[in-house]
Amino acid sequence: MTHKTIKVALIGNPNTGKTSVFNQLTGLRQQVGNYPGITVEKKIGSCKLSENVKATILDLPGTYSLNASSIDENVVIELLMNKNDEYFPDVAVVVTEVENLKRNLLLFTQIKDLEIPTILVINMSDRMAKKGIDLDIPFLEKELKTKIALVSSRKNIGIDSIKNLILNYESLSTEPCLNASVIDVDYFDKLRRAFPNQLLYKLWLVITQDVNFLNLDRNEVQSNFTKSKTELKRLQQKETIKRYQFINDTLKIGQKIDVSKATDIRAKLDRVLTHKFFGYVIFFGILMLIFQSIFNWSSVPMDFIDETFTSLASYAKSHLPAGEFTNLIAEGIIPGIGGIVIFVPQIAFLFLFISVLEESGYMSRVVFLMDKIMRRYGLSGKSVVPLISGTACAIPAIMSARNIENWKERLITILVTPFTTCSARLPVYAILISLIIPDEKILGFFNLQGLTLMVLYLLGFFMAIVSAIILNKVLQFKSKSYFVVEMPSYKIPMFKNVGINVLEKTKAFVFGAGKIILAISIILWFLGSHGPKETFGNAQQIVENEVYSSKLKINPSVIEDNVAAYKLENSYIGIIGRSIEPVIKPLGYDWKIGIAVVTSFAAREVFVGTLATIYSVGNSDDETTIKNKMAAEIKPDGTKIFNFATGVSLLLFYAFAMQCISTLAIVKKETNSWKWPIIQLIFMSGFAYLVALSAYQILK
Amino acid sequence: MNIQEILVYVVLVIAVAFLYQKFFGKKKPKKDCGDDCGCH
Repeated sequence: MTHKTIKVALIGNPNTGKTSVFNQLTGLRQQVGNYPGITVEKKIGSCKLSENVKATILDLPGTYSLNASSIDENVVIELLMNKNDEYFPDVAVVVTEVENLKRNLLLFTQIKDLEIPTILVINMSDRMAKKGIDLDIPFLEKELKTKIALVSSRKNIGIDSIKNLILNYESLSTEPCLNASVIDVDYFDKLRRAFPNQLLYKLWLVITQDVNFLNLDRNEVQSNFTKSKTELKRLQQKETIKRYQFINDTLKIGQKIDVSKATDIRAKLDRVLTHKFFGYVIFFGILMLIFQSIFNWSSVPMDFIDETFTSLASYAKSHLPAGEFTNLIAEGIIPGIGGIVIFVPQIAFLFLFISVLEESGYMSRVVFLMDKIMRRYGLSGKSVVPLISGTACAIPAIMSARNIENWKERLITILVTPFTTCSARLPVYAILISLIIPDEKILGFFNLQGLTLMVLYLLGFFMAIVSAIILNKVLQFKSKSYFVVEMPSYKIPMFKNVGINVLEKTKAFVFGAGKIILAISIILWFLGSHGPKETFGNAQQIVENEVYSSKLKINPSVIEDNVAAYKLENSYIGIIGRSIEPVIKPLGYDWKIGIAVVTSFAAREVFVGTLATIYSVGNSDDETTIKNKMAAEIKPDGTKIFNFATGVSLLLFYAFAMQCISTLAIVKKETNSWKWPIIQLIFMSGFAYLVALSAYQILK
Repeated sequence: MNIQEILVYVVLVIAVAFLYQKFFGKKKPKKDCGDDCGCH
């Protein structure tokens, strides 16, 4: 039996429910990757259409038109223009939304003019009755020269009709919607004569867009047919007007909206959620709820994971043959991995809330709300997106600043985004807070630990704003900017979308960080278990000699602990740690914390894994959890290492320090210069050191 | 040197090589790197 595969490109404006349609079509049969050379997310999924036909579906980045203004939009154009691309679609599926059909159809008409078989999906059809919308589908199909699937991806209605249309894509018309040459007949005539075998609208896009077009020599086209930038812009505007005229004429008959039948609560909600006072109060309240929940809900699974890994290490040590490799597994690998897996519940809850806020449409209101504040400080309204997505990871957040047109605003956004608390900092905050902040409720409701976590997140945002103000004054670039944000309709979040998002993000967190932490744990264990022969190798003898010479009666288990501590102090890691101790001692850190701070430059959450490994090597008690090991660490004077002053100092250091090599690399890439990442590293880390130093010296 | 020690050194070399590749190695275009942005 022969199997046929149809290549499908899923295209649409942002917020049309394109990803929901993709999820409904493909389920969990998805692969997420990047486009070569750039970091725009590439999602591919497969879908069975019939017994022997399947579809490979490429979910392209959301775009408003084929007039690219960002790297995301370029990806769409480059694919649709290049028939040699392995993902060039047999059929394009353009997803639109019933409430914004007019705007969404602009992109549809452009794709149609590329003469690719195109299916029009009108999503969110379940809202038609509420909005008083009625569509004449046969009329629209005739005018738009396509087949239409009326679907509700949220309610899983009409997905089968998309599959059927894809299956029968060969019967679709490839006739364009609009003759683009009407915008300048003479010019297009010349083009047609010069390139008789090329599609006119493609030529027009080659001239106006900065895209690669393999079959044509761009220079030849552009040198002979170029116009001034102003003239090209004017023609592009003319094209857009012509398209909207066509869309208006079509919808005048094909779409009827009876406002009197609409039962809309969107306007009412918007008035409250974007209110200049209550909007901020509600946002603050939601943040409180999130951070309270992160601590309260995840404590049970976290304790369970912690105890499981502790038992696992103990089991490995007692059941595997004694030797170096068993020690590596029990003291290095298991505690190191445990140090990251333990934070899975908190990370999952964080992304659960972020996904729900995004899916519900509330996040766009937050962007709008924050724009009013951002503008005053030299940031763009669009800076809110990097700042908020920075709570997940600074890397994609910094890259998302690419859609800020104004260079000064973009540079400021890039430089201040690492202040926002990324998910990598959460494990560090969580463990330190649980060590120094009592698990108490204030006002009978607010958990003190959750409140502290929220303060740290707000501190990150606050510092980003303060830095932006300073940079706005210091950087002397002149430029203008504008801000456009789309307010999607409010929706009840789809469990499936939220679930997939949480799963993907948590997986990325565990596997992305997990590999680094595992490698660092192995190296740390080795450095902590080996040392110079004269001290490390003779540890047992040296400690016993000290005990005998002191003539004190000491319990053998205490001698064993002393030997372990002596060994660790004289291991390679101990030697490295003690060499940096003078720099970190004023901050209240001992050499073990110093090592954890240094290794966490690879990734912040390595801090916990490092301490877990170091304390496992230096601890004869295998039954203790990471938190208990940290809590039990004492200074030579018998006081706790992780006391309030040291804990606050560490929290503040991690709140402000530039501590991620990958972030520095991406700043270099985005600014095309080492100058900015170096300034960023020196400023942020220097500031973090000073704040941590002050905090410790005041609180100790 | 017994087998356990040999295994430790093998694992150690792999760990060092992995970290070197991750932070200093030349980036190859990845076919599928998920959401791993490389920072954690």
